[in-house]
Amino acid sequence: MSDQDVKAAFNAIFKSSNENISARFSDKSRVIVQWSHCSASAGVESIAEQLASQLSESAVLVVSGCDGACYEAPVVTVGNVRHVRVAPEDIPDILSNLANVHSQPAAESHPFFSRQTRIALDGCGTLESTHIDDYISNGGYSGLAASLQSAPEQVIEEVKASGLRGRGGAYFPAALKWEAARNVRNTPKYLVVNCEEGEPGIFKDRHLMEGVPHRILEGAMIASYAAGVTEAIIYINAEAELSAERMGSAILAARALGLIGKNILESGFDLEVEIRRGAGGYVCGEETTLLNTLEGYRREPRLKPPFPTEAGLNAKPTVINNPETLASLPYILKNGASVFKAIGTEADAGTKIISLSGVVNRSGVAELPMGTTLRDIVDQVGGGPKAGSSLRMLGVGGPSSGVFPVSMLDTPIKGGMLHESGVMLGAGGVIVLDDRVSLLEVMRNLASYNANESCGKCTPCREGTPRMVNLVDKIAAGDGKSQDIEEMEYLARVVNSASLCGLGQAAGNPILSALHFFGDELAMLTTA
Amino acid sequence: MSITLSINANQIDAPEGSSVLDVVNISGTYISQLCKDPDMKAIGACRTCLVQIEGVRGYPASCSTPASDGMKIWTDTPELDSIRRGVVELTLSMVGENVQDGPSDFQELSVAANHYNIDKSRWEPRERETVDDSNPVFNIAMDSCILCGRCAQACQDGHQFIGAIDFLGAGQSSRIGTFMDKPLLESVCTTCGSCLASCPTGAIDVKFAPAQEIKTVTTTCPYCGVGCGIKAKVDAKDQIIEIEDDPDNLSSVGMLCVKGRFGFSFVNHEDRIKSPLIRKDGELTPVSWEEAMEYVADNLIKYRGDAFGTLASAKATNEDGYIQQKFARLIMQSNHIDHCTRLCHSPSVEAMLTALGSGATSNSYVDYEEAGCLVVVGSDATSNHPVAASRMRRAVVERGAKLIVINPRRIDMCDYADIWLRPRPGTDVALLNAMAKVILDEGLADTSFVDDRTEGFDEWREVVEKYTLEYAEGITGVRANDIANAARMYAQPPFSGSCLIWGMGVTQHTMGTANAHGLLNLAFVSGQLGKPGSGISPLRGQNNVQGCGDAGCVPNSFPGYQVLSDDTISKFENAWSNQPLPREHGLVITDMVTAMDDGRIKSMYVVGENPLLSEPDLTHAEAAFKKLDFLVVQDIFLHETAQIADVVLPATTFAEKDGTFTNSERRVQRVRKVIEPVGDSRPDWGIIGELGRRISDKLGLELKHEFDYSHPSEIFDELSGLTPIMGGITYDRLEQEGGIQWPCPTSDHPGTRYLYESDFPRGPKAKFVAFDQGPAADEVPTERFPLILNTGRILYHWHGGTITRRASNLMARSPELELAINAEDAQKYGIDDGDWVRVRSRRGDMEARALFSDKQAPGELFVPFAKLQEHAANYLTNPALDPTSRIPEYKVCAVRVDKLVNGEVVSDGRRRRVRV
Amino acid sequence: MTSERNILRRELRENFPRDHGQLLPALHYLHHQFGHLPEWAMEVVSWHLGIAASEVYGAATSYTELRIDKPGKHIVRVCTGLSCWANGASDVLASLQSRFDMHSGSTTDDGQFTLEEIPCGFVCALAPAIEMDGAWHGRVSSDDASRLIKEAMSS
Ligand SMILES: Nc1nc2c(c(=O)[nH]1)N[C@H]1C(S)=C(S)[C@@H](COP(=O)(O)OP(=O)(O)OC[C@H]3O[C@@H](n4cnc5c(=O)[nH]c(N)nc54)[C@H](O)[C@@H]3O)O[C@H]1N2
Ligand SMILES: Nc1nc2c(c(=O)[nH]1)N[C@H]1C(S)=C(S)[C@@H](COP(=O)(O)OP(=O)(O)OC[C@H]3O[C@@H](n4cnc5c(=O)[nH]c(N)nc54)[C@H](O)[C@@H]3O)O[C@H]1N2
Ligand SMILES: Cc1cc2nc3c(=O)[nH]c(=O)nc-3n(C[C@H](O)[C@H](O)[C@H](O)COP(=O)(O)O)c2cc1C
Ligand code: SF4
Ligand code: SF4
Ligand code: SF4
Ligand code: SF4
Ligand code: SF4
Ligand code: FES
Ligand code: FES
Ligand SMILES: [Mo]
Repeated sequence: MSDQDVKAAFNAIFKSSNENISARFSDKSRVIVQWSHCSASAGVESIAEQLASQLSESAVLVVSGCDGACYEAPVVTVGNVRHVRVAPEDIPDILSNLANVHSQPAAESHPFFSRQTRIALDGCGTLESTHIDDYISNGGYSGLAASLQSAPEQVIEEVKASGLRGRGGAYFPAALKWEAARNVRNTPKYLVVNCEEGEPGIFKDRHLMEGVPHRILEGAMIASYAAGVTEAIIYINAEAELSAERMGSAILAARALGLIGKNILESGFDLEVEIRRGAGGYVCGEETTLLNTLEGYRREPRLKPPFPTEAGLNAKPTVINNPETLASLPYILKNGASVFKAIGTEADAGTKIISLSGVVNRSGVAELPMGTTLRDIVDQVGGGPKAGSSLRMLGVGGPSSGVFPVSMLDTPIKGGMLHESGVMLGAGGVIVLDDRVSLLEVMRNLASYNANESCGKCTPCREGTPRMVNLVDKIAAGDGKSQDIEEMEYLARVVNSASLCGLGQAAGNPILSALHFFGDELAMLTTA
Repeated sequence: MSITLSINANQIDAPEGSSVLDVVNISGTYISQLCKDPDMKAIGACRTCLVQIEGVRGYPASCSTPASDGMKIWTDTPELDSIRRGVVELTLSMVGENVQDGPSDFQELSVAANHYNIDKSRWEPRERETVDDSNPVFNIAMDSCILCGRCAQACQDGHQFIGAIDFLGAGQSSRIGTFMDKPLLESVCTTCGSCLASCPTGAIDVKFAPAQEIKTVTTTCPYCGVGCGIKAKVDAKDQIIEIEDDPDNLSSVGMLCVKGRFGFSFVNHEDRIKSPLIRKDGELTPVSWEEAMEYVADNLIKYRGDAFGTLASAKATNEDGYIQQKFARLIMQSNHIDHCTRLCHSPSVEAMLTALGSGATSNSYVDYEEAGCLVVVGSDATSNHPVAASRMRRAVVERGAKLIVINPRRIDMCDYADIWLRPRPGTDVALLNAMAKVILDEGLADTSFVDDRTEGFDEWREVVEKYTLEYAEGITGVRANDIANAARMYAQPPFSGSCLIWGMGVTQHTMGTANAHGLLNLAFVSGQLGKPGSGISPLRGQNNVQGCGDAGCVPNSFPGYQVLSDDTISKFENAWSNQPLPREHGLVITDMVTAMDDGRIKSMYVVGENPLLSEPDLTHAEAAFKKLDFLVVQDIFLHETAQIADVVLPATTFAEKDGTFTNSERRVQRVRKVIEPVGDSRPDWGIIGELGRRISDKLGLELKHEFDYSHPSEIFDELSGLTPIMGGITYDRLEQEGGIQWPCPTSDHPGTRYLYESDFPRGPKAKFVAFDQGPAADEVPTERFPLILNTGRILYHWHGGTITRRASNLMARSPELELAINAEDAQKYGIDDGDWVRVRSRRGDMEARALFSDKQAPGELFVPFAKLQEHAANYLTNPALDPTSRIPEYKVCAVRVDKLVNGEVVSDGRRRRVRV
Repeated sequence: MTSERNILRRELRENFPRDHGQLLPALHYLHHQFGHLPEWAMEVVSWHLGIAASEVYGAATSYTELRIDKPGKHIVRVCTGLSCWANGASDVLASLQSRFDMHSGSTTDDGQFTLEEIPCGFVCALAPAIEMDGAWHGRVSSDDASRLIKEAMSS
């Protein structure tokens, strides 16, 4: 193989993709319906059916993923006009191109999009998600082509230089994992793309899978090449049916073009890709639990060491990455590490996809530079709390993290701890909460989530998490003593310190952060 | 290599590969470790073994943290204490609040709580599942369970590979339980007790707490040929109160089955014969040893030579056996000595002697674990060689070995099988020949093995040529495709080699020897012999059936299978004070019975065997025994044969004597005296020796010194001195090294894991011996006797049940004689599940409880041959013999079955097991 | 062995290699076929894969998406995640319970409906949400939920 061969092979594919696109659309207009898990819950299926049946010869119906502005779903785009919250009765109007039914400004001037820097999400809502030609003709797989023209070690160096850290919540430098796996002499090596996304309030990986499945694949290929992996497994949540479907067609299309299989792009690099499904539960996303699932064992974590990069799936070196991490790679490899590094902050390069929900005007997924403050996320991207309510606190980073009061809104987002009481960015969930839910309700919701999701293997988490819920209930019932607050804090510390896996090790965080920020309020709810 | 690290600032050396917990334990510092079984992998669930390590964040669990050189570890900082206290309190809250009763209450948990001065949890106890008391031997009390997972690990992949219990559910509904949360008794639980042995809180515990032990003795299980190591605990009254597994034993590596662990109470059972008995006025009457010995010596003298026969005991030690054959040959001048191997593996031994020159298992249990394919033919190892079966399942579960089962019954092993072939009973020859033909036709044969290391190939090939798949399918009823796949899998396992493992389904047929040759031919043609992970294993039955044969208790050879040639006869004459020895081959058991009937044999000395339950056609056998002039029985219980004896001599059990057993993998292991002899009983070697001395005196033979031993080790030295295959084994070595596998010719020889690496005892070449499929059985179903009765064993009973009826735990687990019947047949004969039925053959009948089981093919019944409720299968069985080995056809006889309408025995409605 | 078992065994043999890693795919397969995991079918999986039945059951009961017991004809799941909770999920849940006498975690006596709470349906941005027979509905009110139930009843 030579770099020239790779280049030539890729150019041939690029050329034919462009030809296919011209043939498919020629001078017809594109009517794009944004169809994803979220919009399906808002009735997009019947919209798409109507569109398909009423469409004239002069237009082509394109099914894309959603662009992230969930609050506007369902969305249909014609030309550069976004029709939002479309109802079936609106369709004749849309198609006759007469009225701009609830139409919205195009992305650049749209308040939900204007703050975003879309690297991973780029093309979500416009690209025809299952057609590989659309992806390729818009620059897709050129990051892979670029990688294959350099040595795996160079790819690792490039990604190291970019500062990319894992987006699954732990923010471990991506390239170091690959290097570790690469250096273990044992084959085959595996890559597992962790699309479990089982954490409440976080729905960004689904958007990626449904909108730009090929970008995840391309990222997986780059990571595999760098790490010496020959088998990649896309591990998808049991319930994420649509995501699995889209990833599945993406794999078929890529294989048809020779981007999966033997001697990819004449580079000598071989890779097989397979989809496997989970079977429920937050802890499935914990990497060693995920390996157990793949191997047919109980849904519980394994002991570390050995670490997966050393002995993971079937005791072989295994890299586990989040799809968002991987979806950043094509950009890095195409544009160079420095371009990526320039985004975000000195310590935290690049962007983070935030899943924004709760009592907020503009809910959805938004990709923002690291360093953006929570205030900007809530107010500028989210348009502030819904009418008639006032912001009281934020749930940040899911049940493994904690809550922030209004006073913390100026915290910039970054990997790792946002506050030492146990608040972290995690996978990037931000839930806006107002006065209608009480502090104790929030604590109970998060604590009981952890108690219910505890796999039950280790004592502190299994026995400790429900007792945190009991203490919250006791206070809620008016029976709380000040001593209970101490007990709660002690218990949360024991569970965090003694638990076996990341779930238990963070299960005390909602309690600890609530005690830290709202301790006085809680004290008032208890008696001496 | 060793590493040095510090525990609480003290320097400690530890072997490389240790965990931090190992090092803490080496240092003598106490740290709680509730979920870590010393012999199994870390689980990491209890989180009580937390430590702090310099440079490491948080509080890692020491059991699952590898130790490395220079680590600085603390076990008792204030922060650590606070966290660990929290975890121990949470753990205590699982078992309720009353842990004040001291450390015994919740065993290791209480020890931990006491150590950290925690007397009560600050947390309310939470609601737990209740007690499963369905198993008659032990309870599982979920309200004392801390979900450490050790029991599940022990039952599953950590240890026994049984898989009756596992961790179930998630979160707060996590629990230890069986498939579908059924009571333990309805699961595949075998009551092996490994879970119990590993439980740190006593949540799993025997129903009746044993007394305090005063000593523990390491010895060998007295039941089956697997030869597991056991540790017997004895109380102040010199009674065995508990048996533990022995992790250091090389054959069992810490495993046990229900008999080994819970089947010991026969030793101290009140039915033990406590003094010699002589029949006086028709009654067996207690007498002194002096009187009994005189009486026996005086009488036996009359039958020296051809009129005397003796049966040796495969339950007794090598030393006992050696003395007995020496007594028979030297004193009684008779080669009519045999033991139960005749009823057992004689066809295997005959075939192997012909084809290889030696009759032992060629390989070891580790070969099962390392094999790529295991073929288990006519053996229900799960029931009868449970620990060997565990090691087979380990191969399947842990290493992905292929498993092929060949058996007309759907035995439990089928749960793990890749292929299960269900031949019609007695048609294995056709099946095996057809497999061989596939191997030949598809070019899967190991031609270099065949060319270089075998003879007789062409003649054999001619015979198997006609066993096309279709032809074999017609005879056996097994689908052609399955036969072919099995052949391919065996000849070309996915990795390593293939092992052939077989049992009574192969041997106890009129085609028994032919079957065994069929298996050997298969091994030869595919070269699956003489390398690790391959080999041939007739699984030996009794604890010391291998040793009994090794010691010479067979009619045609001296110890170590030294045949009765002129050379060996003179060798032994020289060794034994230059007295002449009988030169003719003796009779085998089955022929001895005929000879008794004919009046040729007039006196029998039966040691540790109960022919009047184990022989076929008992009515006839009993008549033959009754014709004897003088019958001496030497046993531990007054069984059926003893009851008609003229003299009964009380022997000790394994627990009351020293000696050695040799197990199925040729491993010679020590038997150690655990308690003093019960009553006036004496070890077999002592009794036989005494007889030898007395008769020698009476006859003036001057052979007294030949029977004068002060300890079994002296007998062993004599045996090994005369037996090249054991020449290098001594008690000292057994003490130091544990069991040693023969051949072990010299004192520096490590023993032999597998045989036939380069040649065979018969010479450089093994021999193909061809057989055609003959009639499937001597007796075929008829209109009057339309069903086939298959007899064999179940896990909880031992043969006729002489021992196991007196082992309360085993009896509790299986109190009734159960006849497995297919529901289809049952319907035909109007029988309901649980009905009492009468089964009749041309020779006799028995009553049993019918138990529906789809393990049986329609038309076939299965019953263990234990005598329960005074009924036993051998009243029905057919004494037809395999012509070569003279083994009876226990596995097939034609019967009918009728429901007992007004039978005295009524159903007691006890819970039924789902799987039989 | 009954023919039912034989048929399943053949299907398993055709679709799932005998490999421990195939346990979850095989259980998913049963789940698709039967809507839950019948005892006999798990036993066949155990035989086919050579995994102890208790281990199969232990794994099956550890995954929240796998049902052992047969559910009602219709399955209603109400998201009670924090976003939905903040947007009124408790009202939706309460209305179902009071209007149709349903109880979380159980099946109605007529076997028609199984009601479950679920910690997140991953349509948080369209909270509150419920799932009816596999289809998610976002931005639901108590009345929307009742309408869905009634539609299912008459279907
Ligand atoms: N619990 C227990 N364990 C024991 C013993 C005991 O009494 N109880 N006894 C010990 C002794 S001495 C021995 S010899 C071993 C015996 O151990 P096994 O050889 O396992 O003994 P069996 O149960 O007699 O028969 C084995 C199998 O042969 C099958 N079989 C019957 N006919 C045929 C046939 O035509 N072809 C094939 N392929 N298979 C057939 C039967 O279905 C049965 O499953 O067990 C030893 N272990
Ligand atoms: N129908 C049918 N019949 C069969 C078989 C079958 O499969 N089906 N299998 C046959 C086979 S394989 C076998 S091996 C035979 C077994 O037949 P047996 O060997 O007759 O059976 P066991 O009951 O084991 O007899 C052993 C005796 O030794 C005694 N004993 C135990 N320890 C000692 C000791 O240390 N010293 C002395 N002196 N006695 C001791 C016990 O009390 C017991 O009475 O049965 C055969 N019979
Ligand atoms: C309880 C728990 C749940 C997790 N869930 C997910 C998840 O759904 N998706 C994910 O990518 N990572 C999840 N993780 C993190 C993974 O263990 C792992 O760190 C990550 O997949 C690595 O990918 P990255 O380095 O690309 O971020 C979870 C961790 C824990 C402790
Ligand atoms: S911390 Fe919780 S989820 Fe993790 S292993 Fe322990 S019990 Fe399971
Ligand atoms: S007694 Fe043995 S088989 Fe039964 S549950 Fe315990 S370990 Fe498993
Ligand atoms: S029964 Fe005993 S061994 Fe088993 S999990 Fe409970 S405490 Fe541990
Ligand atoms: S397998 Fe055999 S030797 Fe081992 S404990 Fe059981 S009966 Fe004894
Ligand atoms: S998906 Fe639901 S639907 Fe919800 S928590 Fe997230 S918001 Fe509820
Ligand atoms: S509805 Fe499309 S982004 Fe959610
Ligand atoms: S002994 Fe280490 S966690 Fe239980
Ligand atoms: Mo035997």
